[in-house]
Amino acid sequence: MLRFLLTRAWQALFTLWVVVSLVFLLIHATGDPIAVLAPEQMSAHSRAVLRAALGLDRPLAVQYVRYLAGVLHGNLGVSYYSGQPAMRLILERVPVTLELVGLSIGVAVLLGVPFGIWAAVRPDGVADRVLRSLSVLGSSVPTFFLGILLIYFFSVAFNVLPASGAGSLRHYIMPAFTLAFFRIALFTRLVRSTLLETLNQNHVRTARAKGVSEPVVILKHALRTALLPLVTVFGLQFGQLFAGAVITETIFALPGMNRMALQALYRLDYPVILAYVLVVAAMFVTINFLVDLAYGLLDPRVRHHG
Amino acid sequence: MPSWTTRLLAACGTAACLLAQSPAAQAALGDSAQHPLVVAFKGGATTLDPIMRSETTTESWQRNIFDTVTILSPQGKPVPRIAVAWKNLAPLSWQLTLRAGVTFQNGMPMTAEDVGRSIMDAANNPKSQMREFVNDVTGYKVVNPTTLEVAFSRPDPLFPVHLSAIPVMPEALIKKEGRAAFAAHPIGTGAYRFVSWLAEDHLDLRAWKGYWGHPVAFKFVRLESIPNGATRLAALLSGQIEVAEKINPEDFARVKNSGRARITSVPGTRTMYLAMDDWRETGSPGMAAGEKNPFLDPRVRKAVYEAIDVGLLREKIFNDAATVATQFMPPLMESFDRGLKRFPYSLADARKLLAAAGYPHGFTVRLDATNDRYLEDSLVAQALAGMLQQVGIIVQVNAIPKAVFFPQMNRGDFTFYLAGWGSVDPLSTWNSMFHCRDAKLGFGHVNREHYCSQAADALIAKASGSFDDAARVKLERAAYALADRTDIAYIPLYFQDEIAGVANGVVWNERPDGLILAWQMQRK
Amino acid sequence: MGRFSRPPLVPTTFLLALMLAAIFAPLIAPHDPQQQNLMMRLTPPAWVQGGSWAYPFGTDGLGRDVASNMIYGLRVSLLAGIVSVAISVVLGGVTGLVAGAAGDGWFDAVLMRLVDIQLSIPVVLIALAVLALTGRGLGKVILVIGLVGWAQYARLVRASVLAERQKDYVLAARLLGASRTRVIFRHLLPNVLGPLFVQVSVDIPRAVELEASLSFLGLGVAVTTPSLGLRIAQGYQYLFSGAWWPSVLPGLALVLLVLCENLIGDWVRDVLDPHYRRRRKSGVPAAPAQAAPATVERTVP
Repeated sequence: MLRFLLTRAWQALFTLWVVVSLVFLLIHATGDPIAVLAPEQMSAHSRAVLRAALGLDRPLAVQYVRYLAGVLHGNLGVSYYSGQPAMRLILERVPVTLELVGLSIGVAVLLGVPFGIWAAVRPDGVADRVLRSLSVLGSSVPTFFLGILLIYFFSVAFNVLPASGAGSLRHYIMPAFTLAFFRIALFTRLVRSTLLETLNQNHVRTARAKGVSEPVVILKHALRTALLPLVTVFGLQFGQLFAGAVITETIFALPGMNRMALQALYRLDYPVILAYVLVVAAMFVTINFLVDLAYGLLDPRVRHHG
Repeated sequence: MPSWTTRLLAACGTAACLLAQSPAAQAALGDSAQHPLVVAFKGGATTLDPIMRSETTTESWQRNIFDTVTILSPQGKPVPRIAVAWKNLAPLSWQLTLRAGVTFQNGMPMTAEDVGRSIMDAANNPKSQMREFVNDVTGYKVVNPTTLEVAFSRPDPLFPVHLSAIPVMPEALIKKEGRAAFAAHPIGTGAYRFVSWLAEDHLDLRAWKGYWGHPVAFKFVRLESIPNGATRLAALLSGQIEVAEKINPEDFARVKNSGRARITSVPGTRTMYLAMDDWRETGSPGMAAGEKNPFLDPRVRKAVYEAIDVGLLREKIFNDAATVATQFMPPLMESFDRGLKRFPYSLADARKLLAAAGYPHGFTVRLDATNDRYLEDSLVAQALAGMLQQVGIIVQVNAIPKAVFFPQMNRGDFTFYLAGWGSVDPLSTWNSMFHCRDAKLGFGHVNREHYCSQAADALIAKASGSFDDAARVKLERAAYALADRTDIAYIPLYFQDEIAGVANGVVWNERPDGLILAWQMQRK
Repeated sequence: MGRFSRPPLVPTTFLLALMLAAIFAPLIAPHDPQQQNLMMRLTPPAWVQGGSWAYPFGTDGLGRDVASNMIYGLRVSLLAGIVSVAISVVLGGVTGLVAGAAGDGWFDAVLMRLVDIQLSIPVVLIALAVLALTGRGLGKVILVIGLVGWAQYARLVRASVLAERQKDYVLAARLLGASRTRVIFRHLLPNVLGPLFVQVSVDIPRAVELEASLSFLGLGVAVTTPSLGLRIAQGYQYLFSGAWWPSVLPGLALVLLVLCENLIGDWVRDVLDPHYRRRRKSGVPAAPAQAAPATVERTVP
């Protein structure tokens, strides 16, 4: 076990290092931040001074080494645009992203699980067919299009919901729903299919044979088993959404970390981009590690290969 | 124990309240933190350090907390702010008379030393983006508590105009705290105190009792960013906000008909223009390999100029919310020549010119433009392509993000591109955009296509040393006439109007420089 | 095989119609999608007052015909979806196959870490970098989408191969002296194809959506190329003023396309799902099982 942990730990560090290095190269290949940062009036001389002040006049290798050295000391640089520490800029926007993602997954679960149960209870019934159709539809509408339509109806045409900012819970209603739409469909289908399988398994049949009432059978026996894959997917969805809700945050102007990262990307604010990538990479590495750990603990066959 | 019905009704009521909008009470507007005057911008300030970012939205937010030394009037002339009078004593020296009795928001009195140091800070701080405005300043002398003498290495006849970009900062405090800490809790001499903010999202302000100027109309102000034009407008029309900048041209009628708000619009100082390669014979990146560069021939330039129907662009794309450019300089600049007209829109003439230049069947060229920097930039580029096609010029539009556009433009990767330039004054514009390139002397750094006219440069050099306004303006006009009419250095297209929607209870008009300042807003 | 062996009629017909429209776009589209006409900008669709049948779905902000842009846009979407997934399959499939066949060891660990790495780098960054280096364009965005999606195939194929490896028939083949390559191609590969097709059927609509998203952000196709996502983005600003068609109609086309693909994908999953097949055999009256959703998405939600 210890060996497993150590191997994965150093692999995780290695992964983080590779990611940061790759991104470092990628963003330097994209263009010159001074060209975007400097106002048009700024003379060549002033630009050179600015470039030196930001450390961008050194050769790429030198910049890279300095950056890595900074990271090891916990210093991830300051934003070219706000002068504030890059990591702080990202971290102070994590709560907004967290709220958005949490709310959407919450909505998705609160709606998806009951829908899934309902559909599974009477397979091929009317409810099942309707829910299946709706869930396919839910998977087919692109997030940005749904967001646009929601904004138009609820903010612009009828003005009942705010379309930007994060001042109150109301501000999260539309973005959370936009993100949740696809997931509701997903969870419905997932719960339905796993529940259907479980309902036919022996331990459930036995319960039924023993005279346990149907609702109890479903809720107590079948659901517990059916929820395991749901939990796995839940965890993965959370991770992906966290780092992936870029368009939603942008369309609804939520001051989350993904939107900050996109803005930083569009203006080549290197320190902020790199801080974001580090956070996301660390997150994915951790999630994958936990998933592998869970599998390792659950399935003895895999453990030896781990 | 309340009955179920009561509880249900209460819940519905709360839900309805959550969704419904409460109408804004006029009397309470701006008088409490719960009901501030709200001004919505497209973007948001990235920093509250007033010399770190030269960009209109950032400056609009900052200049409620900080005062600049002078400010521009709606006619573009410098008027007193912290400096109440100015005199130029000698070609290389200006004298400023400062306002007495000004204090910083932490109680410390403002001295001439603060003003002097602010100017030097703007000029010397490596990260300062205000450097160009005070480039030639070498030092200052405090003559008495309200008189400051500023020394220059080169004459700057337009120094009072440039001072409108220099904020007055509490230098002692900055030295003690460090810039980053200072920017987190900025202290200035302005009408409003900093309360709280989230970078690029919102800024909360509160009127300061110790302000030296007229008491402001609205005690509590909130500046926010609503990037989406349609939702920004909706917020205005529903009474959630009082001022919304950058209204889409399509929506003017809607605002006017709403009865709740009106449009204020004024020609701005940003020139949108086309630049053309003026230095490469072959191998210009926007042409096919081996093709000659057609833009070296002034006839081709005039042909392109005359093939563009700017009036149609203005009408159809901007819904009249733009001003056709008759010359590169916008109307408020001192060198603006009212007598000039554009070359006429004439497809026939354009075709004739192209044929005479050796391109009877036109040519193919790539047009580079941004898609995320200027209002309708991508749309205008596409429309231009459509227009030029009519005279046989096949234009491939390459509309790219500014993060890619500007570095490439600086490297000289463009043959034919669309961009904007915000003029501050004719001299600095010339030296940046029109002057023959000279890296050592720092001329022509924005002159990407290497336009060069020695004669015109000489005229501007003379103008730069002239403190006689009439003479200087004459020289400037002569130089720009050469560039605009004879050489067609750039094809000026239009000046974007500065447009905002203002709720009925607020009296305020747009400024040509695009700054939106809460302390200039009055109650109806 | 009964009711579920035929593909669902309506979605398949629609999808075929959309594909035919895309292929024969030059013949079907009423106008050149890039032809501007500023005088006719924002003309409403034909059935609305002020519209004309010359522009059946109206025109956009530059006077381009919306219907023609939708038809050509389908082309772009279908190309993006199919080609990018093909790239992902080849890249991911080959790597996964090799990793699985090689068993544990450094290659496997490297591959799994590469998956982590690729997931951590935001799609938008890759798209922006490619754009900066090579400019906008359909080919480039297809490449980006293809690159971004290989991980799921690598994991899937690797997992399948690892599972199949243990089986008797493989051990038997090895005992009989079959070479490694032969084992891979004759024995492992056919059994991997099932889950692979399932994943592909889920992935194509996602790739279509990703192209639309990237174009929506301005990082995809060139600004004049008709892409449904791009046109939605370009048309959005007119929505509030009442001109809904430049944005909504291409959006509906996109939804329709993805919907058909999803429905057909469901059917593919039903047919290829081993659980389902087993249940049919044992005579259990079946609701078609929905396969567990892909564990790795390539969305930019």
